[in-house]
Amino acid sequence: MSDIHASWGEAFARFAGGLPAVDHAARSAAFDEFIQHGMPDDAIERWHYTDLSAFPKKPVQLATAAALGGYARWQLSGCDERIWLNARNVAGASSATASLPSLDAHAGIAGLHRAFAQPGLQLDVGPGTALARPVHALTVTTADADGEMTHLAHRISLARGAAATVILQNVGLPGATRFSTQSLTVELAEQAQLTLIRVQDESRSTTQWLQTDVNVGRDARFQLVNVDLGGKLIRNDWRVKLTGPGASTELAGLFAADARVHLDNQYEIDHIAPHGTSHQYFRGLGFGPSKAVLNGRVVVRPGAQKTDSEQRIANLMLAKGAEIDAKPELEIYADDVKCAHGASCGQLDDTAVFYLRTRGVPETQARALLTYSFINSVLERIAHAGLRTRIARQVTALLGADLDFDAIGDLS
Amino acid sequence: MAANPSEIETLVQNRKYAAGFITDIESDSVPPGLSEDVVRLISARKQEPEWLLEFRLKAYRRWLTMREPRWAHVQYPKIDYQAISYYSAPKSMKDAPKSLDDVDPKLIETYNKLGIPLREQEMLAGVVPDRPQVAVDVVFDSVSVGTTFKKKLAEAGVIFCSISEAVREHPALVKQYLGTVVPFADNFYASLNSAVFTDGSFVFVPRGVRCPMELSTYFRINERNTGQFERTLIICEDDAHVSYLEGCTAPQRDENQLHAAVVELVALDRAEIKYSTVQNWYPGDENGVGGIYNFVTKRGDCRGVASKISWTQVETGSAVTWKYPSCILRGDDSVGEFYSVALTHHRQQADTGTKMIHLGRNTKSTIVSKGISAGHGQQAYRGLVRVGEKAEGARNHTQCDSLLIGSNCGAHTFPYTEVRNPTAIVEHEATTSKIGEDQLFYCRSRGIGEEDAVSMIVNGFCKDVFKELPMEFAVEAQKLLQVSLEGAVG
Repeated sequence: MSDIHASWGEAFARFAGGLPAVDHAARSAAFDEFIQHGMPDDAIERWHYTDLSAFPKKPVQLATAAALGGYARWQLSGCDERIWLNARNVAGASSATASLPSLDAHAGIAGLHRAFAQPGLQLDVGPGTALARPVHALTVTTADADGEMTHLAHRISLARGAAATVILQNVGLPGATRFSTQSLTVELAEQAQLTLIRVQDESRSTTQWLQTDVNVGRDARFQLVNVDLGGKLIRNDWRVKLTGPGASTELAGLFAADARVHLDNQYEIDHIAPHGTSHQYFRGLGFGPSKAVLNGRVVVRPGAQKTDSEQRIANLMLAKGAEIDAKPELEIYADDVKCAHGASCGQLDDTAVFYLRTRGVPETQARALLTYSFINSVLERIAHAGLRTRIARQVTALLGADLDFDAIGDLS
Repeated sequence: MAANPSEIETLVQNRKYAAGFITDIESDSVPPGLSEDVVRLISARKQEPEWLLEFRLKAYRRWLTMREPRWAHVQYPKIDYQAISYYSAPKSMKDAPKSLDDVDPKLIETYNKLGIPLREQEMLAGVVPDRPQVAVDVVFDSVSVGTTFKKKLAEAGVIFCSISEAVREHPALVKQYLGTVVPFADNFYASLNSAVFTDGSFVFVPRGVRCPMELSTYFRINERNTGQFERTLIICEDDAHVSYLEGCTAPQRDENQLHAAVVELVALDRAEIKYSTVQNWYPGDENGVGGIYNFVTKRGDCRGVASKISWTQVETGSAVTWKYPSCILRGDDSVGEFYSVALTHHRQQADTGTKMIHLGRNTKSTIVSKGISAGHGQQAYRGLVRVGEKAEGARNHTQCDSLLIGSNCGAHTFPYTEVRNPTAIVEHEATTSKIGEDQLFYCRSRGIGEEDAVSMIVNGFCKDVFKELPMEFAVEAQKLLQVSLEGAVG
């Protein structure tokens, strides 16, 4: 343990050495928080299913710079591209310094992130401005020497009446064993609208923690689609605060868990002001041996009357060895509210599979087709056709099927 | 509109606790405090065999190393475990009564006040001829004061007695099953109970026997500064069947008293146990002063194939409730059920629910939970449905509804589902709503008073659970809710 502590200390000293004094003090304080609280363990209710206390076991250092031939395979048509390679900005504008995010998270891991965070996407949109093109923020990690880490802090701020679509894509090349943390803080002023699409396709050996804190102001709207396809140990915390009256949010999530991945998504919506609306739609797929956790928590504070909240979680168990733990939580302190949630876990309907087979569709294709229709209620919320088809193809390929999406047509 | 929310709130305000009297009776209590000596003393007073003392001491030593759980959605000041007396018995019990005739008349009076038919003679004499017969075991503070209908039950081969008596008369049975469903190290309160449990009921229904009558236990905490730590053990052998009811009350006192019970149920092949509770411990006053801390571990083990355990609970009392009656569905085709109505108002807090652990094939479980929150009451449903890797074809359905009365109360839902088998089907549904003003208005426009209307709506809300209760208890439960909501309309 002391070796690990020493190696954290060395990594921090190397990183912080060249920082300006003000920044250095804030970072040191954050680093001390991390050393004091350590990593979260499963005795903390929020971390019940994911224990990071034994992590990491090896010495750590910040990832080194790398070069990559091109990014064409991830690029999305019609988007404004920003790219980070091993947490270094390589394309598109980015600010040179990170503003340290204050996160509503476990003090230890938040401290670690704040101590090392490098500037990621910094997006400010002025009053009444609607961005014409979606912003595509792509983070790529390359194969590395064991024990490297990356830490990125993103920030999005929309002024009154502004609108934007942001696609945050995290990908890792095979062999990237990194430990990575990312944070995203979002401020939405009155009537602002943000659509965030996040696609996580990290390498099969990556451990990642992402925390997203969103503040939704009066009559503003935050829409999220989160898709998890890769990684080894992935933990995502989503905290959405509806702070202004009439604020609304829609969270949609899709995960495909296989290949021993441990995937933990914690969604939390906090209704602080009255007349708020929140809708959540989650679809999960359990492929091979894997563990997927989905916690959806809705809090309605005293005074947040006329809240309308709905949460639907549906999971498909497609193979032996899969485990899906779902917990839709409600915490309600106001009486004039409409809150409902539901969670289910089951299989594909055998009669539906049979029906398709009697029409000459081979079983593999039939299962893939039904699975596709199951996840489509989340996919259809992805406002980029190319990205949508790419995800659908990747998921159905896990079932050994190669569906002809041109023939199926766009179900949305 | 006639009924506005504040009127509904007043409807719930003036609830009186009818069972709050104190029985003035000489009692024999050990001084407050907990140590190995106290554990040995309790064991000695009860003239227990060596193995049971060992069990207690093991539990006590483990308890010393444990931390009080803090994950529940309840708040209460730290409990001083050294300020509690762990054994209290009515003094006249010292030379244990040979029959009910020897029981202190004051005790009989207490139970009459509570409406509990302790004296079987009356029942047999046909005072209430149409009433179905119910055998009753009564636990007063730390000891059982009497069990009715023993003879009739013995004819059927059913053993129904206090656990202390069972330890003396049927040690082999107790030794075989005690602590096999809730191990002594299970959790903080279960360990404490294992160390200091005093009395409780023991039921054994042998192979093929259908228990000829309902069995019932009434628990009463009377003495000041005591805790009640009862332990109930129910065993149903192959093809046996039993329905067991339990009720609880306590006097109105300003300090908080601790009740940490353990209930263990064992159902062997094709056996069926139906366990019903009407819990009406003193809830504290409207400012949250006094009341019972109800920290209970209840667990049923469906060990045999096609066995069935059904929990039904109506929880209206206690200042703080922490209770999760559970089923371990070990046998193939076994069935677990949980039906619950919980009411919290004033400053009451409840964190209650169930656990359904599916281990066998084709196991099924049903959960229906109805929470009613009024005043400043905080109510949480916390349930776990776990489907193990080998539980092929497991099936669960959970329905969990909350009703809010007033703008200062809270209703919370924490349903854990953990599925490890791809053939499982697990469903959870929950809704939260308040009594609709339109519903009230509709009733009022038809000449139904507001109080009756609220009571009617609440009863309708709870119907799915009440219909699972044995008839007598269903009536009692409905009355209890009605009393709880009394004076609600201003």
